[in-house]
Amino acid sequence: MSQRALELLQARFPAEVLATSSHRGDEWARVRPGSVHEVSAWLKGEPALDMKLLADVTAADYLVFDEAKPLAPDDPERIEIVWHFASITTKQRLCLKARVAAGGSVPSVVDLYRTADWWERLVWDFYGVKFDGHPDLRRILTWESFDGHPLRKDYPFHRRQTLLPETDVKDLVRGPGPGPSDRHMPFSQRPGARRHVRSDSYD
Amino acid sequence: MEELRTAPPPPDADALSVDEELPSRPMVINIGPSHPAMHGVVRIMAELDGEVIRKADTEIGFLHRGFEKAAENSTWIQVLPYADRLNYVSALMNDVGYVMAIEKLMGITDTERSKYMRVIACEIHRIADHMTCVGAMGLELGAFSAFLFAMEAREILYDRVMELTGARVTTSWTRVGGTANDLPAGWLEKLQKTLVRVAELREELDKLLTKNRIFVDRTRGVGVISADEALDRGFTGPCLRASGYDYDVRKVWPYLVYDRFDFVVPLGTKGDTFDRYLVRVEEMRQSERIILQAIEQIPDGPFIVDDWRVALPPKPAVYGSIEGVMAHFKLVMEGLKVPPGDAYSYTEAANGELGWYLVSNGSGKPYRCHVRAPGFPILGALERLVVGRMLADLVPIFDSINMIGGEVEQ
Repeated sequence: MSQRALELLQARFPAEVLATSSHRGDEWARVRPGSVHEVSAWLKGEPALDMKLLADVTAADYLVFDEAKPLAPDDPERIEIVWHFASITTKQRLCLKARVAAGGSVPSVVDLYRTADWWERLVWDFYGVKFDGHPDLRRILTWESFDGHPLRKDYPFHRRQTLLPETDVKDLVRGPGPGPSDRHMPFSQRPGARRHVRSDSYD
Repeated sequence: MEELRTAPPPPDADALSVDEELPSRPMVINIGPSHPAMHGVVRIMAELDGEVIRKADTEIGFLHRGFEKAAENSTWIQVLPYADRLNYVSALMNDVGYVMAIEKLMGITDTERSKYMRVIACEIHRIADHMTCVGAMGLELGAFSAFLFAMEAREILYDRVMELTGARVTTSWTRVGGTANDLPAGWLEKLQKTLVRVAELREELDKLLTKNRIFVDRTRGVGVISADEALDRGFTGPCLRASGYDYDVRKVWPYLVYDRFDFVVPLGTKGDTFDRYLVRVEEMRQSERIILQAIEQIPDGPFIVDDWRVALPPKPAVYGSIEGVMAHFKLVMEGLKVPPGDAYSYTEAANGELGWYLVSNGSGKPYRCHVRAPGFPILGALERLVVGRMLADLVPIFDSINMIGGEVEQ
C-alpha cells in the first residue's frame, strides 16, 4: 500500500534504515534508535509523505519470541519500540521500529507530535524504555512506587503488588501537616499490624 | 443577643480590602476519581484561579486491569471477551476490530454475508454509543428528559443486539473468519422497525438539545481546538471531524464493505463542544442509512468460512465424524495457529480509530496484543481543552470527548 514511502525513506536515510518489510499491507522500516527523531521530523515535513498523524506508539519485548532460544535479559535488541504514522492527505501509512535494550532509551518525538506525550509515558510505564527529551516522563497507568515494568516478559503474570502505606500528604494551602499518624492509616498498614501477606510469597 | 446584633462592626473592618482579606493563591481542586461527572474513574487535579482552570493534570489508571498482559497469556480467541469489555458501550466494534486484526495477520478474509453482518452490528453500536454520549451530555447539563430519550433508543437497540448475540453488553460475537451465528429469522425486519423508533427518538433528542438555549450556551465556543492541532494531538473520529478535518477510516481506507454504501462524513467547522455534539447526531443518521442499505444488499450464504483450521466445525460434524472432533479439539485446546509476524489493523470505532497491533510468534497465544484506544490521545489532550475555561466548562468538554475508561485504561 505504501511501498513508495518505504522507497523514499530508504533513499533519504540509507545509513539509518536497517531493515524494511512489506507484509499484508503493512509497511515497516527498522531504523537505528538514535535516528528516530530525525526520521520522524522528515516523515512529517516531507510533502510527498505528509505524515501528520502519529497514530500509536507501543513496544514489544522479544525476550522469549523464539521459545527454544530466549534472548539474554540484557540483549541490546530486546525491546522493540513501534511508531505508527499515517497520512490522510496522501493515504499512506508507515510503521517505524527501533530495537533497544531493556532500560535503554530512544529520542522522544513529543516536540513533533504532541500526542506522543501519553504514549511514551505508557511505554515507559510498561517496558521501562526512556524517551530522551520527554518533558514529564512519569508512569501513567500504574502508580509511582510500582516496582518493575509489567509488560516485560520476565515480569511474572501472577505477581501482585500492594499499594504502599499512605504517606504524609503535603497540604498545599496550610503547609506540611503534623506527620504520619497511625489513626489515618488502614489497619493493615499500621506499623504494629499483623501482615497477612508475606512479601516473599507474592507470586 | 440584642446587643450583639446591633453592635457596630469592628473599627478596622472597612479598612481591609477584599483582596487582602481573601487568599489569592491558586486553589487545587481534586475532581474524581469517584465523581459522577467523571464517567468512571478519571482524576483531574485542577488548579484554579478564581473559577478559571489554570492547570489540569489528568491521572488515569484506576480502572487498569492489565488487559494486554492478560491477552498475552490467553489463546487468540480467549482474548475476545476481554476485547469487548474494553468499550462496554460499543462492544461489537471492538470484537470486529480485534478479529479483523487476526484475519489480517493470517491473511484470510471472512465471508461476504459475514461482512454485511459485521457492518450492521458495528453501525447499531455506533448509534448506541453516540446516543449514550449525547444523552449523558444532556444529562450533565441539566436536560434529564433528553437522556431518557437517548436511553430508550439504546435499550431497544440493545434488545436487537441481545437477539443477535445472546448478550446485551458483552457480546463476544465475532469469530475469525465470520461470526458466531447467523442472523435470527425475521431479525432484519425487526431491526428496520426498531430503526424507525430510534429515528423518532433521535429527532426528538435533536429538537430538545440543538435549539436549547441553556445547552447551546454551555457548549458553543467551549473547548475549541483547531484541525491541525487536533491532528497533532492524535484526535480521530468525531472529535477530529468536529474540527473540520475530513478523516474517517471507513472512507479513507475502506474495510469490510463500507465502500459499497452511500453515506457522508459530517464535518464541523469550529471544533468546539457543540460541533462535537452535532457531528455525533449527524453520524447517527448516516449510520441508519448504512444499516438500511446493508439490509437491502446483504447476500445469502455462509456466515463463517468453511475452514476447520480457523473456524469451529458445525456441530453435526463434531458429533458425527472423527475429523470434526479432531478439528474442534485442536482449535479449543491449542488455539488458532497464527503465523509469526506482526500486523496493525485499524477500524473506525465510535470514538475514532481503533487500532490493534498484534505480534505472533507462531504459538497459540498472542505474543503481543496492543490496543490503540481512540480515547487515549483525546483524554491526553483534555488539559489543552479545559485550560483557560471556567470549572463548569470542564463537564461539557469531558462529556463531548466521550472517554471510555475501559479502553483508555486497559
